[in-house]
Amino acid sequence: MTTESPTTASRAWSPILALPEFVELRRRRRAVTTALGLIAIAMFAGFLVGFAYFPEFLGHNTAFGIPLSLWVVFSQFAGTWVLVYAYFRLSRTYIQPAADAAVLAIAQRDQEHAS
Amino acid sequence: MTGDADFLAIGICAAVISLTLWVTFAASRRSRSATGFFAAGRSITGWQNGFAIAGEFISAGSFLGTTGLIFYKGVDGAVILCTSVVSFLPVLILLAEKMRNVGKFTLADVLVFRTGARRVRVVVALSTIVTGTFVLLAQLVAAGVLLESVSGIPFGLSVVVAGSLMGIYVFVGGMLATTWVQVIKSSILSILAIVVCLGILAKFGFSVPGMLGAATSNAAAGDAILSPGLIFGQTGAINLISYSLAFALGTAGMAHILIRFFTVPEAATARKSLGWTVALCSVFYLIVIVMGFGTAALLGPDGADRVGAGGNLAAPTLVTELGGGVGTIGGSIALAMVAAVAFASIVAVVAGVVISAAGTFAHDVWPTLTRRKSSDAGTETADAREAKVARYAAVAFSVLAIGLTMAIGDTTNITYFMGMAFMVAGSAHLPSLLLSLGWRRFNSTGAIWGISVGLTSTVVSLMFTEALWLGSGPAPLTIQLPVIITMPLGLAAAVIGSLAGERRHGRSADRDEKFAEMLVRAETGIGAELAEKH
Repeated sequence: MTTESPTTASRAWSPILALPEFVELRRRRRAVTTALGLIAIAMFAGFLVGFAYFPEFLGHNTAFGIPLSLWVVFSQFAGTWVLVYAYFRLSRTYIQPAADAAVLAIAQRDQEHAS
Repeated sequence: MTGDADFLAIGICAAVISLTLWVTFAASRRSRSATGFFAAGRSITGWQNGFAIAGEFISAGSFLGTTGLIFYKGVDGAVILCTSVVSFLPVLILLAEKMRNVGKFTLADVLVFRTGARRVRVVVALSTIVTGTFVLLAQLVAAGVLLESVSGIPFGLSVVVAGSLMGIYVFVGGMLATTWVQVIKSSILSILAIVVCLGILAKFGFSVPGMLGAATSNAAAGDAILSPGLIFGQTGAINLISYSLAFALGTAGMAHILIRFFTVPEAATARKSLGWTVALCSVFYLIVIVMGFGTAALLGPDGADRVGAGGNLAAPTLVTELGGGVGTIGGSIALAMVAAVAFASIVAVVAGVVISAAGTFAHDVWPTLTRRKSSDAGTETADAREAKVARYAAVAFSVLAIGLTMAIGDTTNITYFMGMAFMVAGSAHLPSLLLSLGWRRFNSTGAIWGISVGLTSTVVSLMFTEALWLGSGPAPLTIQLPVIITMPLGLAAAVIGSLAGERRHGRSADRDEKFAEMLVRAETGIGAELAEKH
């Protein structure tokens, strides 16, 4: 059986954007997205610069018997894992509490308007 | 790999197909409602969706084509693998949770959330179907070529079998069956890949430097396979950058990947599912790198003769060697396993694409074609009707795809079809999606301009690349996948279109209210579609 979404048509949405809890939620989301996004861009740019402009250096030098070119490839995998882990952790410990607070504030606001 | 029928390979393929068909018919009971058919009742768990996205994403080309590419071109062949893994970051950070909260069944649901414009739905549907067609053709050609080489089944028959199966999965079991087919494929593929990887490394005492040393000794290009440049060295940095961006950003615009977030119960599960996807894809792609260099290391100096010019037979040749060689029982079983996995990979990918294309046709195009009233949209009756249309559309797409694949034949360069799909996704869908979710002034004119320009510029620009150039002399564009040109064009068109639309039609009365609703829904999940209760 399909469950219906809660009726939301009657709610005024624009004032919710001004709720301090929702402003804080958006601020936290933006901070996490910007920080992790910039790290991802830097990581990816490093890979492109290395492969495009230093191919000889990466191919002829090794660390632990493996050429640096492969270490650069592995770094993209490892960097992605670290960023995914960081996003999961920040979502759970930093964004989710703000989201819960925003949902509560919206519910309280709806109640006040109803009564 | 002789072209004669390999009954062991056919038998193992038949066993895998039987398993997927059993799952499909078992799932059919839960796919009768519209939400059941389009979104698996939003009941898919995090790990299941993660496995399914990986199953959707890892094509046969990933482990057959890329293994051959690394065998011939060395570390440059691994570029597509690491960019593909990185490509999940924009999906995770920018889209997954918001898509789950804002969307319903298709990509267009997110793009028209604020405007409700039917013409946007039609344009998005067209773009989704075009992207899907590129992927379908690439996969079905691959199915035909690979099964013919590995198991001896003729090209045409392989295409008909793969095409028919994808139609059956979607028609009978909808998204739930498609999901489970992908889960089965990912599981078998992961197990096989780990076994092959351990087999390769064991031959060199689990020493990666030892394997790389043997690879450089045997490879035709010698030490050069360890240096970047065998693919991108002659065309310059801009080609490498554009190629990498196409794959790194294209995933975030792929409709058949993004609609998978509508199948989970809430945003947190959408997020978690990507963790599973990244883990699976990363491990698998690392193994493909080992397989590529391992092929060069194990096959000896005559390896190039054994894997063929295209390199697609590198993986089958490698596993046959690991199993004991041609003519041995171990070698035959190993080869048969690869054939089965290749086939499972292809049908899983194409089933996902077909449900995406059929879904968007039924949900976004059909109501316009039949001039259905807007007030009817979203009702249970309308949704059920759309699910019925989608089932038949899936059959029609399957027949069409089989016909087109037969028409273009087995000599077509399939790599370009996949590249085109990623380019359309990155140039047409992604800019409009991001603006839709974050820019207040974005409107239906911007969506139509952005998607149309992204789609058109992709097709036109590819006609000027070396692979598709029909004019005399060298191709004007030396870039393989010119997304570095088409993506900014798609973005600029979306922005300019929005501003032009606002100027022409003025701001709609409820623009700010709809934008606020979308933001609140995207961030908190209030008002998001709920899971079915069973």
